[in-house]
Amino acid sequence: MGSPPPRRMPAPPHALEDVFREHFDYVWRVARMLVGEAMADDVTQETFLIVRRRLPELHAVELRGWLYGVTRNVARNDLRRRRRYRRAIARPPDSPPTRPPDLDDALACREAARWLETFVDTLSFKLKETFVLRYLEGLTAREIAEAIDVPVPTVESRARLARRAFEAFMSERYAREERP
Amino acid sequence: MNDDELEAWAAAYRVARKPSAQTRRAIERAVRDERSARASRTRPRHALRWAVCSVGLLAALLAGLFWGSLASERAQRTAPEPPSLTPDLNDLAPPVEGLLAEGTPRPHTDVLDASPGASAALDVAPASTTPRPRRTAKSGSPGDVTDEMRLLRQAQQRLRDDPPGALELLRRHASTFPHSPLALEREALVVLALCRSHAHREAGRRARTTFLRQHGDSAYAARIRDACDAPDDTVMVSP
Repeated sequence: MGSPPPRRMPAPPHALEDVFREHFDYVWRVARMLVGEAMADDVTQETFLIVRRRLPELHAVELRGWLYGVTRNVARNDLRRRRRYRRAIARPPDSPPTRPPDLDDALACREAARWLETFVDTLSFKLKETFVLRYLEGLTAREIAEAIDVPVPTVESRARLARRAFEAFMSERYAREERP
Repeated sequence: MNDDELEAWAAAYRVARKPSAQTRRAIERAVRDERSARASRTRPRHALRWAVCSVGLLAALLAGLFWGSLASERAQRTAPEPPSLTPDLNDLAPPVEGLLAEGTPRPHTDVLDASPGASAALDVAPASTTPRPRRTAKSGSPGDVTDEMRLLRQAQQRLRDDPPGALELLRRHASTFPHSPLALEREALVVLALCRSHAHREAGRRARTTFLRQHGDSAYAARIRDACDAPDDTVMVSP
């Protein structure tokens, strides 16, 4: 009786290069939103170290949701190690842009980003992650539900709440600007 | 705000928040080189860390024994006045969450109420096994607490004459230092500022109720209890 044939492992569906190319910016932005700019690089690097090790297991995983889960765990551990969570973002200008910025206007985009970050900082963590994933990164409710392990209706409910909060946030600032 | 408008904001955010090419290259290189680097670096690091910890613990233990015996000997001889280790720390307490859920006007409620939740949520997330960071820490500076204190002191100084200005400073503190160890101090000052602001006095009373319900045994409770009913010049909290 001969030895059993070697088990052939299926090739991983995701190559590291592909994950880098397609998702690096996304992971870095999520890390930045979770832990701030100063720590975003570290969290991103740790996330991709895990991606590299886990690649052979990632056959049918919806990658963006899975990446978010990893990034969140890495961020949490990093924050716990440092014990303090600080974001030293610059204060946005007193008057917000009155309409969405032109994408060719880099300065306007940066101002809009700072306003969005200021708003996101006012949210609870659950609404924050939902708003970031749903509206800023464009994940579907199902993807988010899988990533954070909650039912889809819960994600939809949180998304509605976060969106209402964003609209209220902007309206309030518009009103403040118009006030004499 | 319609979907297109929100997507336009999101697109602007994604344009503005892109990692630099240099960052990307550095991280990609580090991840590719991780396997060989890990084998050569982590074990000696762990060994060194254990050695340092062991020596440190042993030294601390010996020092504690030595000072303990020395102190008891001195106490027997002279019985000196024990030094106070916490001179002003009664006013600097750990953070609270959800203080003003009922009482504060929206601009303050949003900021003060929500941010601590982020850490709470992060703390209860499931554990994962992740490698230690390989890059040096870039956040955290010894001046941060000083900055926090300065901001709170400025807010306190404005309590008497400019409660709205004090509230603005406290809001700024909450957004800049959402997980501050001085959060309870901040929340107490918010209640006082609301109570001193004629426009927000009713909100101040509700905030006071919430504060006392959650932190009735804190060092501030007595002062907060009388806050909204006291004459303006009798309310005082010292950061």
